[in-house]
Amino acid sequence: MKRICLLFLVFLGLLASNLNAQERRITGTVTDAADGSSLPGVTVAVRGTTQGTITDINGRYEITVAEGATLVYSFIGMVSEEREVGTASTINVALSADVATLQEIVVVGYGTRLKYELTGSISSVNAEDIAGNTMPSFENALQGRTAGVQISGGSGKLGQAIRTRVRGSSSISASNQPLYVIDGVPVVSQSLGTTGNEPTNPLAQLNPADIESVQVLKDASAAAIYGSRASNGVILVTTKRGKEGKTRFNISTQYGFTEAANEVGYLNREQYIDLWRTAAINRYGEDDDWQARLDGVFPFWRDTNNPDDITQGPDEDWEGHALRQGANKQFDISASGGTENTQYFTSISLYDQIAHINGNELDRISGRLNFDQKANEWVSFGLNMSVSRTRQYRVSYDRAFASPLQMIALTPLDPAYVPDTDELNENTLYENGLIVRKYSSFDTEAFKNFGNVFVNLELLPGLSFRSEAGMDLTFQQEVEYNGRLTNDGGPDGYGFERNVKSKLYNFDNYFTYNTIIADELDLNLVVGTSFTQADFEFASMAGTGFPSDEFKRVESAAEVSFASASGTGYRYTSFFARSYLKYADKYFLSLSGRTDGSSRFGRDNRYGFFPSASVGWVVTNEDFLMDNMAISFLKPRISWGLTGNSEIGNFASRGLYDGSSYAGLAGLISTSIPSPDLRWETTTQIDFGIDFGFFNNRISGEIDYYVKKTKDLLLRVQVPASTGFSEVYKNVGNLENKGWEFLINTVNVDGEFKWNTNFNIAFNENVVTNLDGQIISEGIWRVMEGQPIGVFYTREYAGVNPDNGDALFYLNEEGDETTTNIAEAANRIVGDPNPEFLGGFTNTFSYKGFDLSVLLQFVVGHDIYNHGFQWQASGLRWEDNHTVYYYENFWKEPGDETYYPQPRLYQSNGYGTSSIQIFDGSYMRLKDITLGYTLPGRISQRINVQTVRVFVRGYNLLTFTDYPGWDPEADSPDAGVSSQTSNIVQGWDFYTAPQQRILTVGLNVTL
Amino acid sequence: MKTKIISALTGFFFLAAVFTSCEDFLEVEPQLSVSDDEVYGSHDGVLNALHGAYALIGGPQLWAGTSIFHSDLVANSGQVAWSGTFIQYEQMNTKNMDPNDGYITGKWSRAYWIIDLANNVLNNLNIVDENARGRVEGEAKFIRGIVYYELLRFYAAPYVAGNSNGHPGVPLILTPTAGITDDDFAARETVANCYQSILNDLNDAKALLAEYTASGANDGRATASASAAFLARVYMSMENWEAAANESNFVITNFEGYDALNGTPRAAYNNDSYTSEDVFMIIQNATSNAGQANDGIGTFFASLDGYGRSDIHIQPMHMDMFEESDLRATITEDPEINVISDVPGMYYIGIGTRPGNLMSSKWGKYDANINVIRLAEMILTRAEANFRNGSSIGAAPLADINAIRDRAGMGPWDNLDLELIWEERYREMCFEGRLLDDVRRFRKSVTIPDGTEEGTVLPWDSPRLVLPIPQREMDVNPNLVQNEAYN
Repeated sequence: MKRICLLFLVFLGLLASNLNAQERRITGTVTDAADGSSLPGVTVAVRGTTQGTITDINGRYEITVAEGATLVYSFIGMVSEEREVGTASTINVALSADVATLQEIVVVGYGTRLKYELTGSISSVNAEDIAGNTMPSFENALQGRTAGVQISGGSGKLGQAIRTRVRGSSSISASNQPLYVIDGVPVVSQSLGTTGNEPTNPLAQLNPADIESVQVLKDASAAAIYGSRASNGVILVTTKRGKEGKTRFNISTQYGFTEAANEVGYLNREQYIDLWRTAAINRYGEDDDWQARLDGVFPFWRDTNNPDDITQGPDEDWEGHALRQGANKQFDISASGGTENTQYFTSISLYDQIAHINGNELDRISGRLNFDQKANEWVSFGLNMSVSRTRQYRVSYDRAFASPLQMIALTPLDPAYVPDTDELNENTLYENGLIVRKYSSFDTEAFKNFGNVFVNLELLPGLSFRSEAGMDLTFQQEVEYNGRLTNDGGPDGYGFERNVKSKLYNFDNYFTYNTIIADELDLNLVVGTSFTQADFEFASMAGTGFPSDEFKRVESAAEVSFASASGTGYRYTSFFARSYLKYADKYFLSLSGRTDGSSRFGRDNRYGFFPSASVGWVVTNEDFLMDNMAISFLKPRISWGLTGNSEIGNFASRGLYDGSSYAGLAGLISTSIPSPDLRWETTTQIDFGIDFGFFNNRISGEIDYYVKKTKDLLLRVQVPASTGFSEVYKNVGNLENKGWEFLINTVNVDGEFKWNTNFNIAFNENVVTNLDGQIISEGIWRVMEGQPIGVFYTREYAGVNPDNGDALFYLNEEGDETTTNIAEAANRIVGDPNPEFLGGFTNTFSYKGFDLSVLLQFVVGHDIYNHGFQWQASGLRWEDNHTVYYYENFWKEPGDETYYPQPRLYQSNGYGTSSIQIFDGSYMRLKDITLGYTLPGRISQRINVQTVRVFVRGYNLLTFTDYPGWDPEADSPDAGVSSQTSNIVQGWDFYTAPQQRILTVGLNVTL
Repeated sequence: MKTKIISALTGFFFLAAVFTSCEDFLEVEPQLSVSDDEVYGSHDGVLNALHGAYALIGGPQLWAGTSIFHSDLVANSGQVAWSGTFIQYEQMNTKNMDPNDGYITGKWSRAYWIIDLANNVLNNLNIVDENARGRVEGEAKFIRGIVYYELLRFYAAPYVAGNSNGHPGVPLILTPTAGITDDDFAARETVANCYQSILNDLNDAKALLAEYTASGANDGRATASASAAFLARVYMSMENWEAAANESNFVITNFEGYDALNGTPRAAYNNDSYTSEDVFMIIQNATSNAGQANDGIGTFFASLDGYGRSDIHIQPMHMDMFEESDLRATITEDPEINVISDVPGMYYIGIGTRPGNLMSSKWGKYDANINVIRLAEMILTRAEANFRNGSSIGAAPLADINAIRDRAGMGPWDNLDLELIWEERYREMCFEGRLLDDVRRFRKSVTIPDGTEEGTVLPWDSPRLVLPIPQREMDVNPNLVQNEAYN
């Protein structure tokens, strides 16, 4: 309607305009800055007049204007651009999406909405922020850009699992990861990797450059349409589609290097010897022959030519072996366009990253075709199809000796190579990680075939039917080999091989009905069904005894030490409906309901019903605010809804026996007791929000307050182990998340120089309100009533006795009494791994052809347990190398007030788990900085291209933190853990790889 | 238009019907598991559960791992140095065990898991074929009995002969768990009653398995000899010397005496099958073993090419117990060794991780069988029991001791005293998980070898030599009382 009005105005303007003697004829093309595609229907108006035109199907326009006039290019959902008419006769303009715009189209489940019509809470990230993402998987691009969504990289290993929390943790035993829906298909996002290594992230197999937008459905009204699987939020990913117009080619490439975002700093030779001497004298007295002790531990620590000069000899930098400079290469090419009836988007992409971690690499090749065809007036159909191959060269999990990061446990006195030879040193304190790197490999190759086909029938005016059949097929092979010289492969080689088939099919059918019920009262109705079937098949085997390290496949093994073939699966059937009422563009009401049935529960508790309701009121469309110049938009909204979670084991409700064997006899062992009454865990969420815009939306934003209450937790209830079982799944307990989210967008300077700011911050408070008296412990993490999930519960370090350097610990659960015997100290709550608040701060600047975007991302108030410091700061209780941070902070003489106690060789002075290893992990990161330059149109056109942009991009360039470990994002995923363990064990740093810093230069060309 | 609508609606309802009319769509059966009622519905099912109990015995939580370790580190006075990074074992070595220790919790849970399987088997004997019933019952009782004994010796204060032994043992569960009810929150039974139950089970097993004595076909499974051997251990703990002498004599007689001893001490270890002197072993192989890297007994003891963490270093204090020329004290010092079969000595200088330390070669192969009871132990037991009892059941104590010495290449003793028996037993049985019981029986003190309390002497019955009841168990079950040292 608006567009027709504009057209009419333009038409009037054309009639009314006086033809001027100094008129110039201007032609040009308007394109979308994001992908260079042409934009038809853009209004090109002459400022201060009613004169104007609109662009044609190829984005071209032609207009005759007076000299010195200014042209204004505007289009729904785009930031308007102005150009002064100088001497040029061609003016090409690229419009970029208006992030703050309220006309933006937002994808919701089974449909779309305009942003101003929304009644729920949804965060969006668009293509520009995702394209050119230097990390393999798109979730990294959400970091700091989506209020209330916590993304932590876990460890810096490529393609491994990422922890995502939308508005906190809503479960204890069931998964807390959101549901990912890509082009309408609820995909498999959980790890398909072996339990013998860290979990992998199947989403890394999707090319981020193909993504048009990502929406995070946060509140219940937005998410409830996904019912039983929506308690943790839903992340909707929409891939790019073709637009009517001539074929656009977009070529984009990046090259750069990677390195660790931070290095800890470990002792060099001189420092280590000094620490050793100090610790030996402290323990054994001044006369101790500490050099003889070194001789007993480090066979090569003396210089072979001059053994008495201890200033000479090996000074190995093991951190330098663990971490390295890597490389990043990306190349994407896409073509899109189409006719009125046929549109397509197709792309091919190459991605190759050599990580900063020794031995870790990922490469991916992927292709996509998205196709839309309108067959006739009432039938249209299409498909989205992508294929990819992803290869991951993995390293061992953090806790394994073979993890390259564990090399730093080796001291500078252990040379990597036997002196004066090129033979790797096999006599290091712990395994020489370079031997592992040389003789071990863990290659994972995944083929993913993902997509859907759909047909849309326009049955009646306003009534359409859509049927979508989607699939997500992954074939993954893992091949591991550990050479004969490695600990994991000795004495004669170990090979492991695993194949996974993951097959998910999804079939959605729904009607959409749009009608005007009465004057200004619009109704939108969606009714449909959904079926999901997922089947997984696994086959794995291992062998030992290889003729030589040249043979790596199990076929050559003398003995097959392990073989297994298995499968599992789940099913969902669902019915859903949603009605959406809009009155006079002011009042909005949305009601939805979904019934889900799941194969995971017993026959009597199989179905659950998940309703939601929400209302919104655009106050600024009321007469009394219509003409208010200051307030341009104001919409309070309230939503309520119920969502579920069933992400537990596929057969948790049953009493089961698994196969086992002994001495060649087949056997069965009990693994669970039945829990036939098991049913959904449900979360009720209420959300109060307000969307606002001031001064013509120069300042705009959203504020949300929510309360999420989860009841009937699917809890692994602990039972006395004397029953033969440790736990049983039951619906017990409650927990709660509540918090605030703020999002503010401002246009600080507008004109030729532009400066926009986006700031978001989210506070979440998690508390477990009822566990029916249960205490759930995972190491030092605990879940207790009245506390947030996974608090640190261990002995509290009381510091150093300044008189004698003894470590002190609080003796009792309360009070100030201390003890030097760590074993006597009581456990206390000493930290919380959940952040107090998190967010991001983006500033974008543009001037002429230059653009600069700076994203600062922050997470504040979470504690980290640096488990590795138990050995890296043990005061030489162990011979491991120590951190420089330790070296600079230990007690030396009476009166010293230091963090660490006096070192005593081989003796425990405060050694053991306590809050001495727990640190504040608050950080702020210069997450993403991009500086680009777009060649002026006249130059690019001379070489026959639409746009040319060169850029430099930095990822994690700077980190501001007091955390003394590698990375404050540390959150070791560990290997083979249950979802309960991964929910509870947060902020665990166990030789956890740091994130990477990436610096690339890139080029974007649109043809 | 009408046809469009009709066709679409028909399609829609058809598809909806296909999936929903059959509830079967939501019926997904597990491929790797069967339900409990299927297991206990047939003879084969019950047999499978019995085999499952054996399989669980082979885990690192019991004889194939921490049972050996818990005994020998808790009772360690400095004969070995613990230099590994596992803090749990460090705490055992310094006698500061932590109720949250995962290994302590793991042993407890594993033991009761096995006990519940055994209880299930015993509860379903009526569906076992009649001709197999006796053996199944015997094996299940054997398993239950030895697992309870294992629990008792670690988690309860020692049995004291002549006392009422009313102090807490462990929860005594003799019926299978069905669902979790109030009865499942069991309190600790007295030590006296626990021992009585163990004796009942093992005596029953010995009788029911009377026809299964030979090794070979019965390798790795319960036999009358294995039942008697465990009975001998139990009676020794109860200081019932005469019964211990009788039971060990039963075993030795079944094995036809000293001739069954291997030719050399070294021959008993790291084998893939029973040797002539093995009374009970846990069968391991490449596909079924207690673990290679972080678990299983060998990894802590070995420092070989690509195998072993080299965590337990043998100290001079240990070697001082041996006389020169004792075959049980031979040391292989050869940088060319790769695997344990290259090591002829009972000790070797490590060549893998943390090389250069003195290592024991008793545990050097992750997939070798685990020695649980050897004939040599029974001979030493008979000698000690007879000596203390003043009897000569089967043989005179001196003859038994000299048989062991003879195999070790040592000359005979002419006279015997308790200290000599202790020493001989120490030399023969070291690192085989017997030290804690021997320390208790010989009333030896234990000296804390390391840490802030280095040098502190603990008496044989010190509460600090008893493991704590796992904290998770204390938290879950309010009816339990914690052991003295952990209150």
